Amino acid sequence: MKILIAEDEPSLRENLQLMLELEGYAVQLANDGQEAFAQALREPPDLVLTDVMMPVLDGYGLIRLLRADPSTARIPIIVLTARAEQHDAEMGLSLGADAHLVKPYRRAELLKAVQAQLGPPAG
Amino acid sequence: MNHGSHDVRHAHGVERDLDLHLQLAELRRQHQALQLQHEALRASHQAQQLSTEEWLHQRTRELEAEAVEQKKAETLQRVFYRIAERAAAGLSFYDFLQTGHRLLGELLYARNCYICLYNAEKQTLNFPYYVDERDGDTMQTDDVPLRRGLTEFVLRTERPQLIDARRFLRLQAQGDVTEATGDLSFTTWLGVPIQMRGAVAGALVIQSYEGGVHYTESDADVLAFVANHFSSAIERYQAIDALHKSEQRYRTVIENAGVGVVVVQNERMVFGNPKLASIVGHPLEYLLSRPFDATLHPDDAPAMVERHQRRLRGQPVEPQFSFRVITQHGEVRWLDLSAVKIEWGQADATLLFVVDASARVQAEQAQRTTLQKQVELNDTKTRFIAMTSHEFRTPLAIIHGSVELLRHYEDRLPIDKKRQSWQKIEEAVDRMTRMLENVQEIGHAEAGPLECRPSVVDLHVFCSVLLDELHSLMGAACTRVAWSVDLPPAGRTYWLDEVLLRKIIGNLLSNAVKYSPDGGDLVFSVHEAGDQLVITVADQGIGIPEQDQASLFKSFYRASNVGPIVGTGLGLSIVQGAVACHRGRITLASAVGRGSRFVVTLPLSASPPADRVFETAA
Repeated sequence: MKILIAEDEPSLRENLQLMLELEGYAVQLANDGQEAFAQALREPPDLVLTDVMMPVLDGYGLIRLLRADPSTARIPIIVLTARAEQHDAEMGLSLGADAHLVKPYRRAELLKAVQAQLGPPAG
Repeated sequence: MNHGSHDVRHAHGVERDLDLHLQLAELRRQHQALQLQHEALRASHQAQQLSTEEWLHQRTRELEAEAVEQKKAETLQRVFYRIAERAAAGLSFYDFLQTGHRLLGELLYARNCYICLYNAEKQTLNFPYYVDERDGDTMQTDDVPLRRGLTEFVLRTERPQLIDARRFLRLQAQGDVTEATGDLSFTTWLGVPIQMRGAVAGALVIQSYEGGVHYTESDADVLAFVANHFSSAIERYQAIDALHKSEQRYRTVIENAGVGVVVVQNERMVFGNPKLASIVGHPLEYLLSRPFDATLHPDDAPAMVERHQRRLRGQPVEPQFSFRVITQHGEVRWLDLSAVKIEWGQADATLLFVVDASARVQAEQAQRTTLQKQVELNDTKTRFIAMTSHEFRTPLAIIHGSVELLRHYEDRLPIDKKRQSWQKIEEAVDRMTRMLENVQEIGHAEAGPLECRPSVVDLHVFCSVLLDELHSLMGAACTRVAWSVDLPPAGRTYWLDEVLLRKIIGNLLSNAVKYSPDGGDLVFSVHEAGDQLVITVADQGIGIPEQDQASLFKSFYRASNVGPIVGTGLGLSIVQGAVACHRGRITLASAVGRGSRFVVTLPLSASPPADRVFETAA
């Protein structure tokens, strides 16, 4: 089970990676939406975790691109945003994201959301 | 002696005597007849002489009467002519009536005379002229209610009325006149109606008291003639009066109007009311002597002139608009104007109504400013919320995530990862602390104005210390850029506020470093230019999108391209506050991807001249 993380904040990215790897998932990293999309095309993941505010291409842009391309259209997406407002959540979901978490989120919440999409990690 | 012979001759003589006697008688008879004839002749002559005298006398009387009539007619003519002439002389109504009275006196005994005019609308009488030896002018009054008096009798009967004491008694007895006023001991009272437009509109009355004359029917005729001549003049006076009153009404309205009223013709004001002068703030004479656009605000004048010309050409023009004038004292005032095209002196003109709109405009501006402030405050609040939710949530998420890693995976985490997590927590806490300090600072700045407390500053030393602090605070980031620092020589001192300078230079430099993630040149120069200090900070970083530049100095505002670069959106807001407090200016030139250049100019003249620049011997 491979998870692609799109997050521009290095500390958050590292924490996520560490935790998910410790939970038994394989993790790919991207600094922004564009990098993430390129990786997803090259090596489609089983799940995408994406931040919203990122340089070059933001989370919404990434969702649009993923949903528009047949090879990535069905990959589940979880939006992780520092923006707590209602319309931010609705925006991601309306674009085709599957779940939405507001930073700072609890580890349990995240794992539950990930498992909801992927099932428990193999092994 | 013939006696002797008498006998002889007696016979003869007797016969002769008889003859003589007869002859004598005959002669006597003839004489008597002649005498009678003479008498008759004389009588007839006398009679004849008598009738001639009488004829002559009568003829003379007739001729005399004719002459009087002639003279009277001439006098009448003259009087009527002069009444007409006086009526046209522009006298006041009273003066005209007085002159008329005097002229009437040339025709008739008219020591006592009055004129009554009937107001049909109000059912009252006006006595515009009343001269009386007994009553004086006490009866000269207006709005007298109708009653059964002598004057009303004339008005009612519509005929001349000649009334002496006996007739007066009869009229009273008949109930025709029961409410006569004034001195009623007249010898004769003569009143004639004054006709106007085919109806009785008043009466002309003369009266005589004891010692005066008895008026006659022929006096009534004369008075009626005079009344007839008066009426047309009175009519004219009434028309003029009505016109005058109407004009006066309009004038009163215009003069006291709360709006300025102007007539503009041939690019000039040809009429203006007093209010206009107070609204425009110039004397009326000045306004009337200048082209109409003389007092307009230069920014509004062209549009006003153009509108004016369009209106005169009959083209559509908005009927109401606002514009500015400059008063005599240089005050700019907003006026609201509405205009219509009119005819003035048989030529095209514009009638303008002008209202001082300064209060309205000020109120609107105040409202706008309040609204603007409200909007800005709301914006600031929104930006603050956005900033805190993003900028504070991120370090919180880092702390939270690190704590959870440490707790849940303690046994499985390699030692270096553990150490990293602790470090991340520390960094995030520092980051949040710094942001909170900035927020506090802006809170301070917005709660009350910053203070400018200049002191002697050696800019070379000051800036060098600041750069050292920056390097230790920002670490590696500072070495990404290629520094180019140009400072005043050491020892040269200035009269500046160090606290403000620190805010200005510190924030600009840390921004320049922060927003140059890929390095590039960083120019930091401080130099004098005349009586100004010019501080330049220029980088080759990410730049600032044009649409963000205007809002860049607002609290919590961050450019749209900052990406992951941490910030509160407070730095430049603090810089601007400090620059303003130092009475300086800040300008920005920037292009996305090419970098930003901030130039701050601070006046050096703000300090006492003697203390302005301290040159110490190097």
